[in-house]
Amino acid sequence: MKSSPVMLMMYNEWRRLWHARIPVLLLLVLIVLWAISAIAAHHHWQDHARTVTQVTERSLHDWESQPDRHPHRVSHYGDFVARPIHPLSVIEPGILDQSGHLVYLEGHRLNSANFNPATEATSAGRFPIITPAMIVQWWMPLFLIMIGYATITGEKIGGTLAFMRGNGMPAWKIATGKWLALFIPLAILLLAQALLVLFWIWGSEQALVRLSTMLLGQSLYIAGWCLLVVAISWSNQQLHSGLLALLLCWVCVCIIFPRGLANVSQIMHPTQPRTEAEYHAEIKLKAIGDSHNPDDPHFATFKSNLLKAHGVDRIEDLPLNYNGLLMQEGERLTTVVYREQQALHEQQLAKQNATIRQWLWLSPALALQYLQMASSGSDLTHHLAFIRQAEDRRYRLIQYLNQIHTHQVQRHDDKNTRVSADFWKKAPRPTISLAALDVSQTAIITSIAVLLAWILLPLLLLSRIMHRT
Amino acid sequence: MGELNMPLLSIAQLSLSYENHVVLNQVNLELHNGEVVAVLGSNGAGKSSLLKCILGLADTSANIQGDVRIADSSVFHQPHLARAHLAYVPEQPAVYGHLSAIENIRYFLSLDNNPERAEISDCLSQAGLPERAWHDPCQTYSKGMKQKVMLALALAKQAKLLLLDEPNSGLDPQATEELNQLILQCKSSGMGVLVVTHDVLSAMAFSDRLTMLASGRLQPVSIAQSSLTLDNLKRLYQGQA
Repeated sequence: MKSSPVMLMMYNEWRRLWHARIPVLLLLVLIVLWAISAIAAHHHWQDHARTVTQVTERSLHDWESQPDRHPHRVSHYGDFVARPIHPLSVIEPGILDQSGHLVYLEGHRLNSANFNPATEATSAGRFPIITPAMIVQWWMPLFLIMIGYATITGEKIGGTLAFMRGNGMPAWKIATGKWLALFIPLAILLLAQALLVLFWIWGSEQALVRLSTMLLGQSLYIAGWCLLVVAISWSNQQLHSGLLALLLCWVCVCIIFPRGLANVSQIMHPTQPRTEAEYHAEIKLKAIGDSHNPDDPHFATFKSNLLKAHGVDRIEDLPLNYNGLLMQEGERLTTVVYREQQALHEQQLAKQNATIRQWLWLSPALALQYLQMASSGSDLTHHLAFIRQAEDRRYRLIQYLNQIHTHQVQRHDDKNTRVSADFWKKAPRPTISLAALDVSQTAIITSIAVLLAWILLPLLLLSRIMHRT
Repeated sequence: MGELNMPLLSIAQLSLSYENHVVLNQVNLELHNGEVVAVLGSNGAGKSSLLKCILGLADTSANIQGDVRIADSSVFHQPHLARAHLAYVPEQPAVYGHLSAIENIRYFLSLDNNPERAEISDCLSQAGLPERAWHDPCQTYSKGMKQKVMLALALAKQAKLLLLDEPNSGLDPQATEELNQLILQCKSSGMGVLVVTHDVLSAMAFSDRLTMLASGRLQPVSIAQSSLTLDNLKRLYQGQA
């Protein structure tokens, strides 16, 4: 069967690379690096998964083993919830290591993990862990540059480009052949990774759509890099100038812009440290109402309204335990204030992310990272969805306990009363589930748009310079 | 009758200029089958630009007027048809070092969608490449051997027109002599050959006509072997001959 000139060009480039030896060695090193990262990431993921399972089981066991006791003690005994992790996060653990995967739920507290996502969401903060996602995002382009920087410049220096052009070979066929020669081996690696992962994630939530989104992003990203290598190689007359230009692009796209964007967004929209946020919450709480202060106006009104509603003059005459009602109202107020603080925190994070998204076109590497984190359910949006579910669970649980306090505990014997352990077993502890991929829709669409533009840019450059021999 | 008289290469009123610089100024040239024409010229005279125009690879930012036709196909309007009759050998022999002579020829013919019209081994023999080297990677070849591979490719392609860019540069006298003989072989096989060169002595050895590119114009020159002195050559290159 007769091969097309484009395919012949591709085969010949492979033969050249094979003959040169070093590119083959580089490809092998990349594969070894990828294998190491896959093993390390799998080990890391297993650790997470094991901890999540152990803690969840232990927490359920401990919760249900509680003896007859006072409901308020139960509310401070607390409950652990584990953040559900998608098996695809074996490729990209995202902010999991920064945000943690366990939250302790107790009365009057909002124990969401305090972290700084805009900074942590960028790669530079994650040097210690090599993940398969990082291989695609950083190392694959770097190795590609080292393998392919001479792809056209070498032909120019050897005179074969001028010869082929002079003998009627269209420039676009040469560029396509060279691009395919660089892209296909890497695409095979990406596809192999996707197939292996498919077995791993089979049966998990939105497995196919999440994996396809990730593979699409990775393919666009690497296709863009291959085009850039061909374009810059074509635009340079000397090997070292092409190599330097490509390395400069890599440093900007993979290191400087992601880190710079994170820092700028953090400076523009700073988040409060946890202690500071708690301090502000305490001040707000004192201003709204202090249940321990007998002269507090809010609780004075609360008490008088309650007495009026039940047609009595003293709390001792109430048919319910006033302490339990006080706990309910206190919890309601505390939750309002802490949720406000959490909303402010999330608002700042959203602003940081919006700033980064606005400048995302500067760094397709960051766009890919957003896409990989979103696909694997390990981005900020998925984390916040988990925090909201956990907080909802906490509030429902604590208010359930406060209800028991109100109805099952007599006020005159409040401190000595023990309530049956059966009540803890019936407590609402809704399952926390992984948010659907839709929660990260904005990040996904923006990232794909950036990655498409990333393909167009070197294409435009190539179309401008291709006529030069 | 018309076909017999039709020039293989016809350059008519070809002008090429950039904003403030005229490179070629109304150049005219005709070359027929079995004819060898040498284009001489000093550095920067526009020889490479002329070659690029014939190849249809002139810089797109340049202002080009006139026409170049190969076997009656316009290089500018029917580049694929025109190039089908053309074999081009650049100054630096363009062979892949990792491929052997045979593989190089086969590869370039396939790229061009050219069937192997002639036996590659015959072409290599004709080009004078020693048989023991045919299967060695070309990176072990001398420049002269690489030139022979390029010429063998031109023979295998059975092109009507052969364009040679500084074919003798960097060759020792023995290799130069062998190359000159090859050009004459091509001529005798009916091929038209256009050679761009600095080497007046060689050009005189294989050319039917000598032309000089100076100040953007291409003019015929006539030199007698006996009048080849350094002063005469200087005058020739300054366009004063």
